[in-house]
Amino acid sequence: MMINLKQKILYGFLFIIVMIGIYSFYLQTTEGHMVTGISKEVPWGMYIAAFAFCVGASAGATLIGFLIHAFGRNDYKTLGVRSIIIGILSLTAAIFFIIADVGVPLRMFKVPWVLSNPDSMFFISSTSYYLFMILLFVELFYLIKVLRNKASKKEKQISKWLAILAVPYALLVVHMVTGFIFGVIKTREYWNTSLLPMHFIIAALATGTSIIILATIYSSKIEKRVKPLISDNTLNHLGLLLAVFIGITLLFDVSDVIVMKYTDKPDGVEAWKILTEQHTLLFMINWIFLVGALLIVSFKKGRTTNWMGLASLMVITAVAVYRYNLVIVPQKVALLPGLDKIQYFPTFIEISVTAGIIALIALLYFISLKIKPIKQALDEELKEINP
Amino acid sequence: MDNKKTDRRNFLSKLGAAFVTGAALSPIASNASELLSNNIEEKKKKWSMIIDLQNCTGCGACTIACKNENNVPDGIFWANKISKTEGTFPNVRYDYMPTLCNHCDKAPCVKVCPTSAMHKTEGGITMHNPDKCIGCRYCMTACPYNVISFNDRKAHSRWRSEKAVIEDGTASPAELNEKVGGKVIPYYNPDRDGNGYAGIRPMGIVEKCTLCNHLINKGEEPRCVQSCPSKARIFGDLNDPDSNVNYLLGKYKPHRLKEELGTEPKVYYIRSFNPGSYPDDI
Repeated sequence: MMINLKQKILYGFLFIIVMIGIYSFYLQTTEGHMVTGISKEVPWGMYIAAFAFCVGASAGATLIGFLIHAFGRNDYKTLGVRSIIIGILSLTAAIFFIIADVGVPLRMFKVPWVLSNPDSMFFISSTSYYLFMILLFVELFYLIKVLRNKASKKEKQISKWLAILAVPYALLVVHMVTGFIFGVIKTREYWNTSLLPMHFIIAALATGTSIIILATIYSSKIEKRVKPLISDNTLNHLGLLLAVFIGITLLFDVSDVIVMKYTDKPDGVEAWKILTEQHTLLFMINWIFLVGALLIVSFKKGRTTNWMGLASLMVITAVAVYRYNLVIVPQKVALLPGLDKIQYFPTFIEISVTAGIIALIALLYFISLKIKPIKQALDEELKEINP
Repeated sequence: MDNKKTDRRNFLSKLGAAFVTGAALSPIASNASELLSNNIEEKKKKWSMIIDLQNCTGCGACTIACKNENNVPDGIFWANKISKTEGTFPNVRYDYMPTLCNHCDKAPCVKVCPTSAMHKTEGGITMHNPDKCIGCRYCMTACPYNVISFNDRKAHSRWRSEKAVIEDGTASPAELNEKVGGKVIPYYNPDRDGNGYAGIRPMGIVEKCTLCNHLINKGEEPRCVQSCPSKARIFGDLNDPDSNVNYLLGKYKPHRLKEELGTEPKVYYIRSFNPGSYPDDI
């Protein structure tokens, strides 16, 4: 497929963002983390918020394969390969964010093989990420074989069961454990709740679904396909799923707010104050965008291409903002009396590294669609709509 | 025949004697092994510190001494303090509380560390291994006491500078350092290097109070304890019933920071910085 002007402009823009991100990361590596906004009181910043978001996106993206193989929704088949690639790349982005965040990145890869502490949630989660990455690559490998009609009967079964098992593994092992990273920290009351890992799971589904919707719409609009990747009926179904995920996410958010608002515990009171007084705009964006997206996709007229695109963007923004608040706000609560007011603002370096990683992942997505075996598999998928 | 009987009788009598002797000695033997194991147990220390807030003057000598002893870089404090001023003049109240790593028995930083860089030593010190640390700072988020610091830049960058304060007038920091034969800093303490810890920690990893394990191993007290002019810091072994720490814990009602979290910190505070506002600890 020839690259049109719109694509060239997009790829060029992304490339520039990647270059700026790489240079910023180089500065951070040579000067140290003093070029970021982190401090003794706020040791985790934007990178960890982005990491949590990307792990969620990777878990949610496995949903398509589940729908196809567990529920027989063959109308989603045109999205099979793309969704796995989105899953792989989202997890890659999460790993990139950890590389950007830790002080000694090369040593990080020794976890869990050489350096280990099985009690640590970081240890457990890193093990689960490696296994998830392997699972996704194997799933992609077998799916491509199936689509190119080179798979045996046994391999078709393997492909099917990998797609089915990927979702519970992604949600219950990968993403719930990511929620546990925060949830088990009793020092930070805002994190130390059993609801948090559940919230991670449902927000992952909402995010993953939104990203797939956007990838579908991009494919139709930017690549100027004659026919969209999925039919209006399938898009409608995807919109209904998104509505359910947003609804449950909102339910958890409401539960969170009510408990925090009514708590007498000083840390909880302080966290609510910080959320509503210092993070007001972000707090409002989270709520307005989630409610707005739910309203859009709740009506059939809203479950059309343009409106679904808008709703997906709103969901992605809302969840990203929520993750940011989740990571930063509890750290701004002073651990001991007498500590000064704690501030955190992401610096240009952090913002450009974050943007660079996102742009790099987007570019890798577009490049991956051009890799020969994947392209052939995608062409086979498209025969579903262009027989 | 008679010789055989005699041999058998001798054998049986010797066997009987051996049995009786063994039975008589066995309580002694078991006591001895118990004594030995007690001695081994007694060798296990449980290091602890008491801070007497009544004696503390808030001079900060502990903070400076600690930085000197452990080559702690700018902006990082292993021995720190919390101070609070409340009220409106003239009715003002000032509180001061020295803080340091509490070397908790159930240290959350040890539990969350993915590489076991944070670990407990035999004496109960929460120790850090710079060679294993990946700088993820999970320990910093888990620590309830805000006592772990991250090296977000090259340590002692000021002393590495080759720019003189006054051009052609003064030496540059790097020149001065070289002149006195210092390693990175003129006042570098080589004793800190070793005993499982680095003399100066590299960029990208965390660091915190080690209770001057290198001094404890030599039978000395931590430098903050040695340097306190008002003897506000008392260091000792909780497993030794005759230690100063146990005496003071018996005499005064101690309190520990954030006990409700179940971390079992081993830094105790007794009495109060503010005279006339004793809690019920006497």
